[in-house]
Amino acid sequence: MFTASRISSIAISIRMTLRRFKKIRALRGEQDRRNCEVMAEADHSFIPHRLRRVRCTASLGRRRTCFDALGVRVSPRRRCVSTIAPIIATSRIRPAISMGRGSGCRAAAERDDLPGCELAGMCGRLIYSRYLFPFEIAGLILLVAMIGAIVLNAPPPRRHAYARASKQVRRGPGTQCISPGEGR
Amino acid sequence: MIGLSHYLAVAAILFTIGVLGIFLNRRNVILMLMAIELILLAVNINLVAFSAYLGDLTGQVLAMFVLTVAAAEAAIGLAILVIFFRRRGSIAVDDVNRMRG
Repeated sequence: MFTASRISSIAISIRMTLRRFKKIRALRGEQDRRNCEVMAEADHSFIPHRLRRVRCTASLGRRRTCFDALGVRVSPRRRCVSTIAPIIATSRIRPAISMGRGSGCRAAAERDDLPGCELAGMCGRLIYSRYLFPFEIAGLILLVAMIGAIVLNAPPPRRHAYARASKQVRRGPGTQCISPGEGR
Repeated sequence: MIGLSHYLAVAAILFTIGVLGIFLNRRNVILMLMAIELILLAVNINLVAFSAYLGDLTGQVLAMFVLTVAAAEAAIGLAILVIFFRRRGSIAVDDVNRMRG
């Protein structure tokens, strides 16, 4: 059944499929990059992690470190993937995070003639873009906690406080007398 | 000059106080809740300090999520405490070991 011609045809089809996949991937990458450029022009705030090309620097502690195209901190000691790098890189203003040099944020703002500290804005942008789903989950947790607290502290449902006529009519000489507070 | 180690020291002190508050105080439930909050706060300080040190904003976002969870926990814990007090008349930890309804 497995003749040489069939095997060769299967191989040819596999190769064509692979080529098609490669072509699709290349097209998609091109489109991604174009979208990125458009978004960067529009917003200056969001660029996917792997498509960054801008080199940027930020002062961390006592030394200045630089981020390469992938946002990886290029340092002789330590490498870490930074999430602040794209935002710094693509925005027109370049705030610097610094700690250990007095009031770091304000110093950076004065040095780079910023209108104010941009950290909170960048934090909010990060929450609304990358961490949107965890943010909504956190809101849901808060809602559930609120409802739970209200339900737990709700007053118990009222029992009947009035006398039942049927029981009073049925009452005979053998009926046990109980205190009025016990039936509640 | 305040550096990273100072922040870490403060966080470690807070964490130690929280753990001691849980394990040394066996009488008051409210104090145990406050000790748990202290522990979460120490973790938050660590997160923010490392976030500022490494230039990575993820730590601050995570700190906000930790704050959310701490708020929810405090709300539920206090509600349970109110119910417990209404039912038993005391909030001593020694009375909590009876878990029958």
